[in-house]
Amino acid sequence: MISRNALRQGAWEFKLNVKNGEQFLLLVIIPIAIFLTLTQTAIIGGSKWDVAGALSVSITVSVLAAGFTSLAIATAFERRSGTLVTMGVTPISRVELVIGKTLSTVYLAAISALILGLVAVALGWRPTASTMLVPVILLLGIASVTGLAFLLAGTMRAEAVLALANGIFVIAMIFGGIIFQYPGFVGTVVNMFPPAALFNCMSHVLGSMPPDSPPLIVSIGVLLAWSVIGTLAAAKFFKWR
Amino acid sequence: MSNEPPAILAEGLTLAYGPQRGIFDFSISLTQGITALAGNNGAGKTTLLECLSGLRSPQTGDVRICGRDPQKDRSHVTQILGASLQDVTPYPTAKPGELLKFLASLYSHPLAPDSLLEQFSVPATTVIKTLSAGQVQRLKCAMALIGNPRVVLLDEPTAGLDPGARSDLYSILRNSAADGVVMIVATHLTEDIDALADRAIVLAQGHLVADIQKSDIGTAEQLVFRARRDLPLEQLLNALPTESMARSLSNDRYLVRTGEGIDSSIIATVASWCAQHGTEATEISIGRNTLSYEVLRNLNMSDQSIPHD
Repeated sequence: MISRNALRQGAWEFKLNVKNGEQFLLLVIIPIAIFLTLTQTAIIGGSKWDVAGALSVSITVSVLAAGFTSLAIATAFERRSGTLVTMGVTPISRVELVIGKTLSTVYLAAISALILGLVAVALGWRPTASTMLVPVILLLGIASVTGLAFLLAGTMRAEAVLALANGIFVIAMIFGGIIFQYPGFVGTVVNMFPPAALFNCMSHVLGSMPPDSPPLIVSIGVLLAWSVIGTLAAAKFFKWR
Repeated sequence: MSNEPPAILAEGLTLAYGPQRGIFDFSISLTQGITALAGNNGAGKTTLLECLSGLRSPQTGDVRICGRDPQKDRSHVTQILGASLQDVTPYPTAKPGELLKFLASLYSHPLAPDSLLEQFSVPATTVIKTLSAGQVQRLKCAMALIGNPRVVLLDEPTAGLDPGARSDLYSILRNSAADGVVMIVATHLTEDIDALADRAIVLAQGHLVADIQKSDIGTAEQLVFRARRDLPLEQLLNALPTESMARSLSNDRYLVRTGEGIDSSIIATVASWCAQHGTEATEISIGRNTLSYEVLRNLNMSDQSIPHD
């Protein structure tokens, strides 16, 4: 059960995020641009993507943007400004603060996915029964990267987090098994990381499964494993100031 | 009433970062009013405030806020405790009005955010990172008070404030204290100590070196003047009325106190004593003993900041 304070913190963080122009760019404009590029042009892969495949890519990108890049950068700068310590003397507990921040990323990713879904519908895509599983995959995807975001934000200088989180985001988009699939051993290794695992799950439930993609249960297992690893590492190493 | 626990109680508190860094075996009990927490940089003031607020765990000793452990009973203590920390700019991209409204939603009996902002002269709709240092400082004080706390801990609340804003802040804090709020105010400024505090505790290298009640210090007049260094004070004392006190301060200054106040005959005696030794008394000022003077005396600091009426 999520406490009222965690819900309040989530709403507060969400409000701050939506007012931020950079966040809007990262969470809405970039995923939509990717979606339109993939479906309307043949720049990537030599031919136009099917709408479901492009939707899987762009929702994966928006989840990584909200749950990892945006969260890591915002938390790192709040840590530097002393905001996190300031909240330590209010009735918000540290656990509630972390839950609130995670909730905010869930709201952002859900809105982004909804907008992308509407654009996809406008382009002729129609949801199926398995589409109902998108929220579950979305939550799993967020859980798989938020721990890593907190780990980064809680152990490094804000400027370093800014550079690293953006760098990882770009690398994940290009080489993370989202847009380009890798065969053989390289593909197996890439599929063991959250970006590819999330993309594979999303592709399964949206009906655009790429060839040679691992079974859904394997990709879900990968996301769960990273959720545990990230959360435990963040809990152990996160420094509040 | 007498069974009520102290608002702030610390017993044998130790949190050491090194042989002379941190706080060591610190004990205090505060039941009312405003207490100034004084000490040089690195004396342990911030560490102490963070221990009292539950942000840091002491290695030994206990803290109680109105009888409750701030860490074990955090949910209760945070409802009755407000704190403003040093070197912090909370939520730089938020606006003061929305931030205070959010914080108010976390407390059982909060104060009204709008009137608090008005009281502290903080604009409600300006983004925090664009506020002046003084406005941020006042916002932090408003944040400390938003929960309508019983206990308030303020770390250098007047840093960056101009004299007018400082005076306004004194007035707000004194009113809160009059309403029963118990405060510790860490400060470097003698003006803060004299304007706010009923009591002062002095830290040096993490140790409590003085605990001074304003009511306990004498208010006899004193004379401070500048003259050549190392003049023989025994001769001056012999020339002054009995029960007088004279001592040298730093920066070629001297301090004289008598049991009967400072009048023209005392000034004449001092002038004559100086003349006998081929020097002149300059920068003569008459004032009363103050809490800040006692703090500085305990810190063995320069007298340059000692205020005189």
